[in-house]
Amino acid sequence: MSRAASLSRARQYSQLALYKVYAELREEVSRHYIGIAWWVLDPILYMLVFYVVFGVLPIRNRPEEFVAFLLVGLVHWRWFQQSIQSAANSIIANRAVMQLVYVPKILFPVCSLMATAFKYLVILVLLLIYLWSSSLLPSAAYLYLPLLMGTQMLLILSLALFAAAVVPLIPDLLFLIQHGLRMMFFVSGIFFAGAQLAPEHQEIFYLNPMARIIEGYRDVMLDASAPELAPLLMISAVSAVAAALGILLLVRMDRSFPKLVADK
Amino acid sequence: MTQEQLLCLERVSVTYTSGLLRRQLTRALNEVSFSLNRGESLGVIGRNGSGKSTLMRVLADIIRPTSGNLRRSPGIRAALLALKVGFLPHLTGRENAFLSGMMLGMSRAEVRRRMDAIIEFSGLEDFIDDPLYTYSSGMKMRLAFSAGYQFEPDILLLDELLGVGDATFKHKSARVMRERIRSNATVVMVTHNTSRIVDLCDRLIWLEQGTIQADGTPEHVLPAYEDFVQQLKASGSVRLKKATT
Repeated sequence: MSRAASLSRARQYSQLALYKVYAELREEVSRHYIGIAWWVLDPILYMLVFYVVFGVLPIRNRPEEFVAFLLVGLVHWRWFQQSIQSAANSIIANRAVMQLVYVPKILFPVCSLMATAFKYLVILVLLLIYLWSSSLLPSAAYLYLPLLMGTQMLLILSLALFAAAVVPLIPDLLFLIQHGLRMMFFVSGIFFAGAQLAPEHQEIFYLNPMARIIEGYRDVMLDASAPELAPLLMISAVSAVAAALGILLLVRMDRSFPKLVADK
Repeated sequence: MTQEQLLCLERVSVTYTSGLLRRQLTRALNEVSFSLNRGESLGVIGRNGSGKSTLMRVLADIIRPTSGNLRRSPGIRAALLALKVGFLPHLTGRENAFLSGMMLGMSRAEVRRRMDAIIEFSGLEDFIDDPLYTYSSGMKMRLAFSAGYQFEPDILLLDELLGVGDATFKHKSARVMRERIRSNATVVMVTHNTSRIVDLCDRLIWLEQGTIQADGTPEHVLPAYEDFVQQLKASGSVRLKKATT
């Protein structure tokens, strides 16, 4: 294919991706009576549950500003979890489409990641409003936020693209992913800080990239201090390589997916 | 007129694998070879399970042959006229036309340019900004066809599709489709309905168990196929055989 032709095709696919994201978000909004309010209500209710369980119950040694502490963790965890879940299922969910037209299959996880990222940004705004209203004001440390978000995005890409590629091969993996995520949820330091752990446990705890990232967000948003950079850069580098492998896998299997995933 | 070859299949085979460790094999196409020239209208006939749909999916570049070669002229794109691709019930008719048109392969600007024609052909002027779930199934088909019809790939692939929708629209859509097939568009169509095929196609391929049984003019191929079907009926054998390797 000539360069011009492949450029115009790439343009067409990116237009399609954007329109698909818009269409799916709109569809989601219109399906419910109070539509768009659920983007806000759903995460608020989700966080309320944890607030009641961990914020109201008398637990000792709770960090200061516990609600803010909890919310910063939950908001970013939720972005991570929903991204992996929706991307893992994205190719199977579009099986009817891919039997009829050729579209690069990588479009499906990418669209679902874009939609989840958009919803995360909405929640992030709410979180910031909450923090500022509890006098945790923005500081120069906020300049580190793009780095943290970029790192988390790379981490998400590395796992989500890989999951998207292998789930159509072995759909049973969806169960394992679900349980793996739940496991990770409890060990990512959403309810506790790494510093509360015994030193020998901390070493293991910090092997979990999400634990590092969540701690980074708290450094910035709650303590107005710079996050530890070395682990974040390390996570970014490893994730970038893994994400590249995920892309490669999706591209290689591009025309095998319609055969693997029958239109049921 | 010089004949410009658009695509060429050389001993194309497709096998589907299934089961644990993907050990079970089904051969859907078996060493199929033919070429297609610009402006040709090629009909593909055969019983259920003869490999027609697999062939269409190979031509549309949806799946890749397990073995053999498919060569396309540079920049040539074949696409299935697929209706209702990506339709979402809560979007409006207009938005669904955009989504479907872009899925088929049009750019956003192209769909926008053709939107008036889509709406006019569908006859849905009064409903185009209503959500799709309020449409009857006939109205959905009107919209789907009108959006799909605007798409003009280099090679148009049709799977059993001429007229769709309610009675009046079926007539109208079948008529424009026949016009397109008879025009100098390049078309490959799969059909069970052999009655119309003689005046629509200038060439027929008959597939049986993934293998080409005959390739030639309809006057040549169709009687042979019909004899075969008659014989099967006479022998009372309606059982389909699984082609395995």
